[in-house]
Amino acid sequence: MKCQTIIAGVGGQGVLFAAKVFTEMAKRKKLRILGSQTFGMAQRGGSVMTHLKIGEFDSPLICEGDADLLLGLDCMEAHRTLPYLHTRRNGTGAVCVVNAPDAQAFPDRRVAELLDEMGVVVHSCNADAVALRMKTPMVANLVLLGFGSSREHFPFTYEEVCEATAALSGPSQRAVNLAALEYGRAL
Amino acid sequence: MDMKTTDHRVLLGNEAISRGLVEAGCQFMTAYPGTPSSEILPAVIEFKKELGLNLYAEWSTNEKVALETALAAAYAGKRTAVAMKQVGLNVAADPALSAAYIGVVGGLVLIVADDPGLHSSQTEQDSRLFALFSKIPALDPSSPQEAKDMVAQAFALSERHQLPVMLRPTVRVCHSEQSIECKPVDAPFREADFEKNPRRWAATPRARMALHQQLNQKLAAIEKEFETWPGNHAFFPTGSTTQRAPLGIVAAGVSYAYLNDMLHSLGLADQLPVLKIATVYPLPRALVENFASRCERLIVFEETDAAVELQIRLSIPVWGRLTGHIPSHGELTPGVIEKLLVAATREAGLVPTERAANRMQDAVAGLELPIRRPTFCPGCGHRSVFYSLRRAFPEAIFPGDIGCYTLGLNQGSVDTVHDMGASISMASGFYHAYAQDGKTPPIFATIGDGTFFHSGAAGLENAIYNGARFVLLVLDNGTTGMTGMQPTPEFGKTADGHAGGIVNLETLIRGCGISYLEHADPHDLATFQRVLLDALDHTRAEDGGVAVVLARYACVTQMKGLGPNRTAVPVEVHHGTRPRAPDAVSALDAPWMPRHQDRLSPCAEACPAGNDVERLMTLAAADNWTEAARTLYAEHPFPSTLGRVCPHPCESKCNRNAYDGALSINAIERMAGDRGHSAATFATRGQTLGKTVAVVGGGPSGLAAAYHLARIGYGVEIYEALPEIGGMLRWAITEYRLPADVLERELEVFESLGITLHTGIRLGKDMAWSELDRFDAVYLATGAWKQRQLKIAGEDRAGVLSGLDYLYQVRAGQAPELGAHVAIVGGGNTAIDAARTARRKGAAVDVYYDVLLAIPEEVTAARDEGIVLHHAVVPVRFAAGETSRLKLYLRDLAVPQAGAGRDAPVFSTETSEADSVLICIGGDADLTYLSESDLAVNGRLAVDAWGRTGQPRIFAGGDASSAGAGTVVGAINAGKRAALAIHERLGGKAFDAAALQLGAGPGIATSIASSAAGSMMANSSPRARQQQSAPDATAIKLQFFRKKPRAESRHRAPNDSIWNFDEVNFGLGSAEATAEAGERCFHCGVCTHCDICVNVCPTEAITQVDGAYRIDQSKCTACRICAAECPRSAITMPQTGVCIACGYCTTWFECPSLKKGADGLVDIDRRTCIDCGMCIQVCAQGAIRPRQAQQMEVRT
Repeated sequence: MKCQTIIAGVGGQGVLFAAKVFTEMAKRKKLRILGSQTFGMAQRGGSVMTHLKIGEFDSPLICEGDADLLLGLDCMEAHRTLPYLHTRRNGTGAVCVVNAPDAQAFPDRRVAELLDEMGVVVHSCNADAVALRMKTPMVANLVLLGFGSSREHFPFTYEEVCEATAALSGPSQRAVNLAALEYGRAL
Repeated sequence: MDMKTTDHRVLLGNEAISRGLVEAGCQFMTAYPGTPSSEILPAVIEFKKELGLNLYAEWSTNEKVALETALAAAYAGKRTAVAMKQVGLNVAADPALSAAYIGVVGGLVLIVADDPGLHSSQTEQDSRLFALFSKIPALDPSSPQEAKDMVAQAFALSERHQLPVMLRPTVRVCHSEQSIECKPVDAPFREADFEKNPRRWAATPRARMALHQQLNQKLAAIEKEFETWPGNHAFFPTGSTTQRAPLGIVAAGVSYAYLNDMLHSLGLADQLPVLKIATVYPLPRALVENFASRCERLIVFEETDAAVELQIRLSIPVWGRLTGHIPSHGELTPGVIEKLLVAATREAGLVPTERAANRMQDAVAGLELPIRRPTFCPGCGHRSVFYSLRRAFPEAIFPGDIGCYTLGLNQGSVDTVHDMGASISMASGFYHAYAQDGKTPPIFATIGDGTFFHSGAAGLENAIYNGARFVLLVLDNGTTGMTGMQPTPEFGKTADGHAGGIVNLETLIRGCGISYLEHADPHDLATFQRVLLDALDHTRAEDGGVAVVLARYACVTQMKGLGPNRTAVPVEVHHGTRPRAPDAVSALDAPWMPRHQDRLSPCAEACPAGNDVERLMTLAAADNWTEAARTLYAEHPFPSTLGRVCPHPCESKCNRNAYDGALSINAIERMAGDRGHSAATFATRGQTLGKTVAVVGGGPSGLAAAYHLARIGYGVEIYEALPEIGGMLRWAITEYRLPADVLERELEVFESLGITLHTGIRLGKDMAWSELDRFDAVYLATGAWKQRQLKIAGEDRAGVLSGLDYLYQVRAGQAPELGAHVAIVGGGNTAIDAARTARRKGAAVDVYYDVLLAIPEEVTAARDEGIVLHHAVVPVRFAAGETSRLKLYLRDLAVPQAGAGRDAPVFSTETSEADSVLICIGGDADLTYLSESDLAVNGRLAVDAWGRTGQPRIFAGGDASSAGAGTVVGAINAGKRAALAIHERLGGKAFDAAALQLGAGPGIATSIASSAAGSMMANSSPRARQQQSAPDATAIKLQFFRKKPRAESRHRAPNDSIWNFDEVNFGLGSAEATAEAGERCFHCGVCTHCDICVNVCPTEAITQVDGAYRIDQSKCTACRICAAECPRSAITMPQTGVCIACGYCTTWFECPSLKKGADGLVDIDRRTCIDCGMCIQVCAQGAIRPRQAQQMEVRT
C-alpha cells in the first residue's frame, strides 16, 4: 500500500492528533510511515499542514499533485491545499474529506468543476456543529475522521480508525473520542 | 520496553536523535529551546525516565551557557550533547570556536537544527558554514533514521579525535516522523575524571597556536576517514561505462531524500550518477573528485547554503547556488527540486518525464485565500498587553523581542525584532539617539521572562549605567511558551521535573539597578494604561530613569484555560438593529458618527453665578489673568469677592473630587479677580435704551441686576438704606474674610457704568413707594436684615443680641462690649462670622447649633481659632446667671429626652454661662415699605425663577424674595435673572430660558449657552454648546490624568489671626494657581486639542484643520474608539450596542475567537473562545457584552 495524505487545518484544531491516528493505523498494518509536521509559529492560530506518506518513500514531503487523500479540518485550509491532490490515476480519483459548515462552503464553485474533472471524490460534513452539540468542540477532528472513514475510497476502514483512536486515547478521553467517531459515521 | 531488545517506533527526527543519544551512552545533556530543536532534550528525558538511566539533563539559561556547561562535562570524560537552533549557535559562538582548538575527552555532539524556509527563525544561516568557520567537523543527516545513526558515529569520531562534532539536521529532518529502529540501551557508565592540564584547558595564546596546528592535523585525518565513511556513497547507473555521464548529482541532507523520490516520479531513477554526502565538513574531496571524474558536470543539492559546493574544486562545471542554478534563499522543497532537476537534466541533454501542469494551483490562486498569520492564542495575556500599549500610546516606539510576544506586531505595538534581548539594548539606543536631538519620544520595550533570563540582564545593566530612559515591560507568563512550555529559572522546576534553585525575576531586575518596578494586570485596560502612564512619567522625571513594569499572567495554553486569578466572562456579540437612531435615515448617517462637540462642564453647571469655569481654568493655565477676569465679568462683577466668600458648589461637583481632590476653583477665581483688571476696565454701558430701572437695595443681588441692566443700556438708580452700597458684603461678611479694599475695588464699576447711587435712603421711611412710579421697572432686593427670633424664654434679656446687628456694628465701628465669654446660637455662615469676630474682640466663644450649614473651611478655621462648637445642642431658655451673666439652659438633641418627644418642653439639666448671646439663626425680610400687600407671601416677595412678581413692572430677588438667596452667589444669580426678565419686559424681546440655563444646575449664563441668548448682552462672546449634559466622573478617562494633590490656599496661623481683622486666607500664589489649573483641570466635556483622537483613530480619519478636528466620513468606520478614548468626553457619539462590522476588534485585537463573517459582522467562535472577556473592553460600540446580560442602557 502506498498512500499520501495531507491533513490541513488551523493551530489548535487537532491536526496533530488526527495525524497520530494515521500513524497508528499504519503501524498496526506494519506499513512504513514517513511524515512531516509544522511546529512553532504555526501553532499560534496559523495554517497547519501535516504530510503523511505510508509505504515506501524517502522524502517526508508530498509533492503537489501527488496526494491521495486530503483531510481538511478547516474549509479555507482545505482549499489552500487542493493543489496537492492528484488527478485520476488508473481510474482512481483522490479523496477529499472536509469539515465545512455547508455545501456552499466547500468546494468553492470556482474549483468544483476542476475537482470533478480530476476525479476527486469529495465528502464534506459540518463536524464542528456535531462537536459543539457534544459540548466538546475539540473533537471535530474525530467526527470528521469517523465520517470520512465510513465513506467510499477512504484508505482505512472505520474499524481501523476506531482501534487506532482507542489505542491513542487516555482512559478519560476514550469514550468521548469514540463517540465522536460514531457521530461522524452516522452523518 | 525491554532494554535488551530491538523494536521499531514511529519517532520524530528530534526524538530519533534523542534515542541515538541514549543508545550511544550520552550521560550529560544541555540545551536551550528553539524551533526546530526544542523536542530533543524532552525526548532524552522521556527515555531517561522510561529506561531509568543515570543521565543529567538541563535547560540552560542560554546557548553559550549550555555549551560551556557541556564542555566541562566532556573535559571530565562524559559523553555529552548540546542542542540548540541555528541562531542559538551565534550566542554560543565564543565557546564553540575555542572548543575546536581545545577539544574534549568524552565525546561531545553539538546538535544544531537549521531552519531553511524560515518556518520559525530570524535567519536562514547554514550552520555547516559555521562548522567550516570554527573548524568543527559536521554531519548532515537526510532522514530521522540517519540522524539517529549519526549520533553514535559522531560520538566515536569525537572521542577518536578529541574534538566536538556537529550534527546538523534541518527542520524537515527534525519534524519528520519515521519508523525508527530502537536498539538496546546498554552503554557503559563513565565516571567523571577531570585530568588537570593547564596547557590545554587554560591554553594561553602561545599554546593556542600549537593547538591550532594540532586541529588542522586532526581535520586532515578526519577528511581521510570521511573518504570511506559509510554514510557517503556514490551511485552509478547500471551498465555505465567509462563514458562520462552528462550530469552527476551531489546531494546532502534532506535534499537527498527529496531527490530520490523525485528521480522516480521524473522517470530518471537509476539514470543519473548520485553522490550522497553525509560528512559535509571536512568534505572528502578525493571521493568527490573520483565521482566527478565520471561526470561532465555536477549539480549540488544541499541546504541551507553552499557548504559542500564551496569546498569543491573541480575543472568541470559545478552547478549550484554559487553559479545561480539554485536559488540562494528559501527552502529547497520537492517542488523546487523538481523544477531545478527538469531544467538541469534538459540542459544536460536528458529527457525527463514531465508531469502535466497543475491547473489546481492557478484555480486556488484565483480564490485569493487570505494568509492566515499566526496570532496570540485566545485569552492570551500578551494580546491584552500589546493591545493596551497600542491604544494608549499609538505614537510610541516599541522595541520588541523574540518569543510568542513577537506577535505583538499584529497589534501594532512591536516595531523592532532583532535577536534575543535586543529589545532592551535597542530601547537604550533609541533613547540616546533622540535625546541627542533634545527629544524624548515615549519608548516601550517588551520582553518575555524566558528571554529576559536568556539575555536581558546585560542590556538592562547597560541602560542603567549609561542613563537611558524608557519603559520596559517584562511579560512574565512563567514559561517559555513559543517553543513548548519549557520551564524558566523563576520557579525552580528543572528540565526533568526535579526541584532546582529559584531565581526571583523581580530581584534580578532590581539587581540590575532598577529602582522603579511596578506590577500590572493587563486585563484591566484602564488600570493598565494608568500604570504605563506612571511608568512613562518616571522616564521623564528629573530623578527618573528606566521604569520596569512587570506584567504577570499565566500562559493560557499551558494552563489549558484562563489559569488562576482570572474570572471567566462568557461573552456574546449583539446583532440586530440599533436601539434608536435620532433622525437616522441610512445605516451610517451622521447621528452615529463621531462629532467633536463640547459639553457643559460639571463645575459650570454647578455655579449659581454662571461662571464659565472651564474657560477660566484654560486662561489661568495660560497665566492670562486679564482674559480670565474678562470671562468672569461677562456674568458678574464680583470675582474677588466670590473667590473669598463663595461656598463653591463648583468644587463639590468637580470630577476630580473622588480622584485626588477637587480643583481649587474658588482660589483661582479669586486670583482672576485680584490679578486681572477690575470690572470697571471692561464693563461699558450699553447704548442707552431710554428707559430707567430702580434697584432698591444695594446688596449683591441688587448690584448684580444693576450691573447687567446698565451694560444692556438702561438708566439705573440704586436706592440703599445704609450709608454705603454693598449690603451683606460690606456689613455682614467680616473683614478678615473680605477686606474692605477688595470690596471697594469691585464696587468701582458701579460708578463707571454711570449708575446713580442713592445711599442712606430707606424705602418707606426716607422715600415713598410712589416715588418709584417714575421708573419703567423696579427691582426690589432689600435683603433679610430683621433678626429672626428663637422664641424661647429669656430671649429679651439684656446681653441677648442679634448676630447680624453685631456684625453690622463692628463694620460700622460701633461694636458693643460683649464680655469675656460669648455664646453664639446658629450654624450658618453668619454664626461662624459672628463667632470669629467675637473671638477677635477677645472673647471665649461657644457655638450652639442644631444643624451646621456654614462653609466647611470656615468651620475648620473657627475651631482652629479656639472656638468651641456644640453639635446638635440648642438653648431652650436664657436666665440670669452669676453676677451679670446669662445662664443658658441647653438641650442635647442627639440624646433622646426621657419620656418626651423632641419638641416636648422637657428641660435638660445641662447649663452654661455667658456674658452675651448672639442669635444668628437667619434674618427675615422687612417689607414694611410695601403699600400693596399682594406682593408678599409669608413675609417674602413672591417671585418666579426670573424674579417676576404679580405686577409686570415690579421684580424682586435675593433674600427678600420667596426664591431666597442664601448665599452671595445665589443673590448674584437672582439679580442676573431679574435683569434679563426686566430687559425682556422693557425691550419686548423674549429670551430662551432653556438656552440660558446651565444644564440641570441653578445658574444661567450669557457667555456659555447658545448664541440666541448671548446676543442679549453687549460685550459677550458666547460659546455655543449644544450638549448641555455635563459628563460625570465615569465619563472621564482617569488613566490619562496623573494624580496630583489639590493646591490648598495658605492661611494665617490661628494664633496670629485672632488678634486682628487682617485677611486670614492668603489664597494661592500666582504660579500655584497657574499650575493647579494647568495640571489638574480635566476640562470635562471640552476639547483641549490633545490629539488623542487623532492618534487612536485606526483609519486616520481624524485630522486637524485650522485648529479644528475634521472627520473624513469616507475613512471613518464608526468604531467609536475616538469617543471611548477621549479623556474628557468631548466627542459625541452614541453607542449602537450592536455589531456594525467596523472591523476594529478583528484588526487590532485580532483574537482568533472573533470570527468575521462575509458580511463583516463579528461573532464568537465558541470552539476556541476561553471566556477571557477582554473583547468587551475592546468594542467601543458596546456590541460585545457579557453573555446573558440584559440589554444595556445605550450611553450617549
